[in-house]
Amino acid sequence: MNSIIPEIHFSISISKIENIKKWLDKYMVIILVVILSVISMFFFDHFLKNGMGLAYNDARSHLDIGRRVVEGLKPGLAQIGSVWLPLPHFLMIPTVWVNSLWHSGFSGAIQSMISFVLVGVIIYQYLKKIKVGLFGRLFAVFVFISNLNILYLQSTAMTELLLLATMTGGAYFLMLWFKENKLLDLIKASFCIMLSTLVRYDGWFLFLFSIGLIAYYVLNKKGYKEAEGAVILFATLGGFGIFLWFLWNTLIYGEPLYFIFGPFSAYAQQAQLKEAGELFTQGNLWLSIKAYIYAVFYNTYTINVYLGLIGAILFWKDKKVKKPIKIASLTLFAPLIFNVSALYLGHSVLFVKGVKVDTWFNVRYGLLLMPTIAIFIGYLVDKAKDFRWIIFGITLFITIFATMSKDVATIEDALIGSSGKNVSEVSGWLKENVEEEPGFVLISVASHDAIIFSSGLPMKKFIHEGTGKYWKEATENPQEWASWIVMRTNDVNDMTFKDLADTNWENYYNLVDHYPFADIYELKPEFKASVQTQAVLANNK
Amino acid sequence: MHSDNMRKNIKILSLFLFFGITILLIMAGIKGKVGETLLYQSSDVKNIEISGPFESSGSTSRYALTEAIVEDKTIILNEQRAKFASPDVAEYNGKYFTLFTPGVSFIGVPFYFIGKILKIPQILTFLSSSIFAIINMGLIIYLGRKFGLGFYASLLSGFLFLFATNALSYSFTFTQHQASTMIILLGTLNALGKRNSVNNIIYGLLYGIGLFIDIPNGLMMLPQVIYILLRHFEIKWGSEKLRLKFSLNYTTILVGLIPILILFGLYNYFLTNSFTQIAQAVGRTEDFSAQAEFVSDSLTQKEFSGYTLETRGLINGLPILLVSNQRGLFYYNSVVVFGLISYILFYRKNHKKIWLLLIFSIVIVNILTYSMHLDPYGGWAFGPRYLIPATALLSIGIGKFFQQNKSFLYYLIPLVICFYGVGVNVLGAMTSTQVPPKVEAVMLLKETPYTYVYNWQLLGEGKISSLLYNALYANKISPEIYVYTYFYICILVVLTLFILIRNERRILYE
Repeated sequence: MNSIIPEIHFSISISKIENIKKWLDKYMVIILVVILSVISMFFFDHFLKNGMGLAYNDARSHLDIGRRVVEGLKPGLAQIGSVWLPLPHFLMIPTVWVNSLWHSGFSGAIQSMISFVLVGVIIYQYLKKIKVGLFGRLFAVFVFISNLNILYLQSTAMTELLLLATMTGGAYFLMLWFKENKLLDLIKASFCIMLSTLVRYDGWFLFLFSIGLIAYYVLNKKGYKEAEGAVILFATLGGFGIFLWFLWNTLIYGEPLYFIFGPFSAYAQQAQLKEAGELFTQGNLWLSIKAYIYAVFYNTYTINVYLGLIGAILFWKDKKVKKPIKIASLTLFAPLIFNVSALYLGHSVLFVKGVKVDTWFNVRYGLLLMPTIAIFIGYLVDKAKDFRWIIFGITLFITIFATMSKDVATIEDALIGSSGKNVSEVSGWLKENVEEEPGFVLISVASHDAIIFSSGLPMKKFIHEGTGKYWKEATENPQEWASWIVMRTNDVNDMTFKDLADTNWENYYNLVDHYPFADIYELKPEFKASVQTQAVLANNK
Repeated sequence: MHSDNMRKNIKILSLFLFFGITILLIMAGIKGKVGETLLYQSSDVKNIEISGPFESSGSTSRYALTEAIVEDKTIILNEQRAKFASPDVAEYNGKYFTLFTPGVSFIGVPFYFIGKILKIPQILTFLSSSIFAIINMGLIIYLGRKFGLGFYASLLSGFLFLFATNALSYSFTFTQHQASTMIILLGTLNALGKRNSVNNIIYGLLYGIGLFIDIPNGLMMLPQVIYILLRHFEIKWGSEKLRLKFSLNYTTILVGLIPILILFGLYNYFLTNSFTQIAQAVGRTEDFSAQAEFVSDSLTQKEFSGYTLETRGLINGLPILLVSNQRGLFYYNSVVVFGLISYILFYRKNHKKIWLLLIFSIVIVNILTYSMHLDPYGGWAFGPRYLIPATALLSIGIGKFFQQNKSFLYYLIPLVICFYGVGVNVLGAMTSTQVPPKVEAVMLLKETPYTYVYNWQLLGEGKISSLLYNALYANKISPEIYVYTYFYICILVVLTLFILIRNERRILYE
């Protein structure tokens, strides 16, 4: 019976195989860049079309910050503000002035998309440098790029991917420096880490952590003088971003620590949460670890964490891997140490389902370990030899089911967690009733940036805290400047309400709509004739 | 020569004795109630109280279908049977049918038929699971021998699988676990065998029957499918060329598979008007949710219908199924640890690596599949019932662990672990499989433990499920004495095999 069943034959010369191998090895980075770029664009388009592209209110706020630099009643670099670190917004400037790029979110996503490609390449290169075979390298890249949370965050105007690119880049060049001791690598590492310090405060921890590792390593190997030199060299460039941020805060707000203690800082946010009894990880190490590990589980489908952990243990036990490389690899765990510490100290807040609460907030922080997990899984696959196909199978199995069950915690975080308040009603009202009418809307960007973005109105239609004289005038005599006011009535955290408190604004406005996140007031008809509808103020500083 | 023959004869005798004891032990565990033994055999009135054969809807729903096929020649359940099968009943266009795939019920048909003639249809129908359990033990012994385990070592592997894991509890229920395990073991044997059209057709049949018994079997058998596929490739590295050959013989699997799929499709079509829509996809009917007369402890279970698998489930599912005191594999079936250790020993010695890879793949898929299940607990259950196939595959190696050249002291703790496994699982098998998960136990009005402590409590209350005890010994000895005796016999078998393994090894080295 067997003999009547046909067979398929195929043959290829060994030299051809060798040539293909060489070719792949030579051009793999380029191939990866092309493939990852296509994947990146495909998923940006996918999330844009299914309406998820800007699900995070924070994504809209980021885009608005960038936009205010180039357009509005008071455009300029000062609009970068102090709420978030500046690099993501600086990077938006070249594109955000184009309306379609601003409102599609592409201005903010493009840096995430490029970062996505970069992280993929860095993971590949990292493993190559520690002598992991082609399969292990490509597999690690696959683990990274097949994660739906990564694919989502690379498609939106959030800062995670940019942070991952700069931090993983820093970890990569630092590993190279530990391995080969070439000064240029240390400079490259410090440059990448400097960039990461301008994206998120996680980068600041990486900066300090790296200094500690460099000092420890060089001190033990070459003595104090060498250690001092290496640390100074690294810290000068690596800490330059931090220095600039202090300088910025001093110049703009007159206080170097304004970003820490200012009214819109994370510190102020945490203080409110603490008052509400929601900062439950503060002072509780076990809960801090549990919350963060759960966030990592939710973002990486659990099993990858275990595989990565096994890979890390094998890596640390591998006598063939030199000690300096092992020390350098610790930088890959910086997000874990930083996030747990921040939660324990009460500097960060993380709501994860199953850990004290039944909601989401900031669950995406768990994704910051994804490159680390991918790298160690790549290493594991390389070492597992016979078992590599089982690991491959497990990962494929999990990826398929994650896709089938639409397991994207970051989208849920954006939509139903505390990050995702639905502002569409207010923004929809503005779009419908304000777009064609002359006049300004008085609104606080600190509280309602997502509304501004979602309304689709040009930035110059809004008088907000960053518009200098306009804000000052409008909060003193709103009836002369604002045709509409959007604010949370009776909430002193809303800057508009707070600054209007000393005026008799109620006499001039009618409440036209009331929503969970904001109320809309419209100037009474009898005052409309005298309200200012043109940007007339000169020397607005 | 003479002593060789004698040894051979002793082995044959031992084998008969071993299977004889096993069969007797299984017979002694078959479920039935004192004074109500016949009550279970009638198709009119059925007792679904705890520790009886109908304590779980996992059994009743399947039994209702078997009964309907034989009694009324239909696969649709009448209202009475639907009530009996609830909550695992689906309803579509006014037709009630079992929520489960029909394989187990179909297999039960000839057993029921013979049982009907003997006026004990329930006992005979449920006996199918017990027979599969014994076959599984035999397959484990056979696979152990193929792996290179000694004769007595492989017997120990088989015995511990059946009596020191929760496979024992599910040898007395009319559920999918033993049948699924048998199909997966047979599939493994087939996959490891010679690749020819006949074997491929048989594998196709096994795969189809596996699906017919329980849909997740299709996932658990995937590693076999892939392994068989790979075996149809032939790669030859020459000095100048790489030659690759793929035999389309692989496609003959479809010859075995397609008829079963057609049958399955027709079954679905008859019930749901769709060839591909299975009963689980229709979901549970609420029609019988308030049937007071049928409410038992088992009906308070809240299983999820359908096979929704979510990666998010892994966060809690993995610890629940591996280490928890509610359903943990290593908590209830701790003897599998020795199987794992043996596989590591095999792997290090490069012994049958491909086998190991295949077995590990199936075990991992089994664990992952049910960890992703929305209800990894398996409702009210005893131990990790979903992991019985993985337990069987891991059990194959157990004997190897006890075959090592180590001192008696070295084996002291492992033996205690074996006794613990036997104790816990005999307790479960002799009382009830209806142990609530913690999330539900804490909600119950009556304080109910969520571990085997509950079974201990039931035993204390005299709720013993053994038909033999209830029919013959209830007035003569206490339930505890019966269970202790059962336990001690099992321990005796384990110890005897342990001594024989040591003796066998000594002879080998001499």
